[in-house]
Amino acid sequence: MSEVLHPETTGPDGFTTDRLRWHPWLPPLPVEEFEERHWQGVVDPARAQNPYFALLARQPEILAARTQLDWDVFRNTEGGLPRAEREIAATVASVVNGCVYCASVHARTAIAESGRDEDVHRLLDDGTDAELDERWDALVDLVVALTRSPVDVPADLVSRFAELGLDDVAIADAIASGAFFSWSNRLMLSLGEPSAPARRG
Amino acid sequence: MTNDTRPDVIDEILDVRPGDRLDRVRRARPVAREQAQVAYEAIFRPAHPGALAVAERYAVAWAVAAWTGEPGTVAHYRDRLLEVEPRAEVHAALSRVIADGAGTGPFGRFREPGLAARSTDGSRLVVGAAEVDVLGEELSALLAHAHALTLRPREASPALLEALTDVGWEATEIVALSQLVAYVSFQARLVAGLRALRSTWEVAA
Repeated sequence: MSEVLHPETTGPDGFTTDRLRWHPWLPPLPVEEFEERHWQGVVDPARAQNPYFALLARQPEILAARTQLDWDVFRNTEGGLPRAEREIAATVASVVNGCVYCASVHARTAIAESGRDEDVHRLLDDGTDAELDERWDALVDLVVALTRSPVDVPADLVSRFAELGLDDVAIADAIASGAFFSWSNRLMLSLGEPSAPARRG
Repeated sequence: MTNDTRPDVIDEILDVRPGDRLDRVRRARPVAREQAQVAYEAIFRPAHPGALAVAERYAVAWAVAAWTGEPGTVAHYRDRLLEVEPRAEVHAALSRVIADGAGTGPFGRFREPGLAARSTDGSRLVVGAAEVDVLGEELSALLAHAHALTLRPREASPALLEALTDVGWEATEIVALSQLVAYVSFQARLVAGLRALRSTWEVAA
């Protein structure tokens, strides 16, 4: 029978851009048990050492598809929404769902891509009611609507983007980036927990 | 434009036609479009199903889609379940579990002390004894877990996983369950978002 793990960790106090660690509640697949399909599942062999990916490697076909989907949604820069705004969408979904680990990773990337350190921290600290600017507010409102259950996306939340000059592909990128984190957050939250780096006194 | 013939479930749910405006938008991200379908097939037509039967997968997906509230996605999984599990008493029991689990989300207590003021409450599902009699302990545990993960994902814990291992589910199946719930959560929202996008074109036209 599988044993559930109880990591002894000190979690972060709240949303943060610190580099967190993640500790699984179920045993990752040991590297010595990897077969060809598991190596294909992790896509990048270095990820076999990462507890999150090594745990997901127990279902390698799903992991491989998920990884390629992720990369196309967030890294395909042929037109569409700027990378920074896709990362904001990921951060917003993570804040609404309450995935502190996911929010930390994507808030850091959003800052690196946009340079808007203060706005991203306000999103983490004040939540999705924080007023940022017209474009980011439209993005926050859309992703909040997409993340809630029952999901309800009023047309005017989408038409705001067209009024701001975004084309179909950019709007679809915003939708896909936000929706994708309803997937990511549920994996990260349901299979383990974050810990904070030790603070020096 | 239609250089592949692979069926695409998201297109089917949305009734996307080859070459129409939504088809062109989806094909601007060709790998994402294709891999959403590959992930669906890996979850629902697994080459290595293990102990998690296809009927159980569709039953859980139906419930997750219903609690997420995207009608086309709900109909898709209910119909797939009917194909592999036609018994009326099973559908009736599942319908009752789905109705009992209706609620809003995401809610839940944060594990982070600094977020206590942002914690919220909502309804938690307990599968009734009459439904457990029809569905069995194993599927009932999957449904209870799926409900938690759909509506209060931030309340996940080792104890929640122990409710699954206690009735015999192993790590490999629990990872599949998490992926299934999380995938349907994504898929239903992508469909809802693209539907809303298309509705803005119809108004403009």
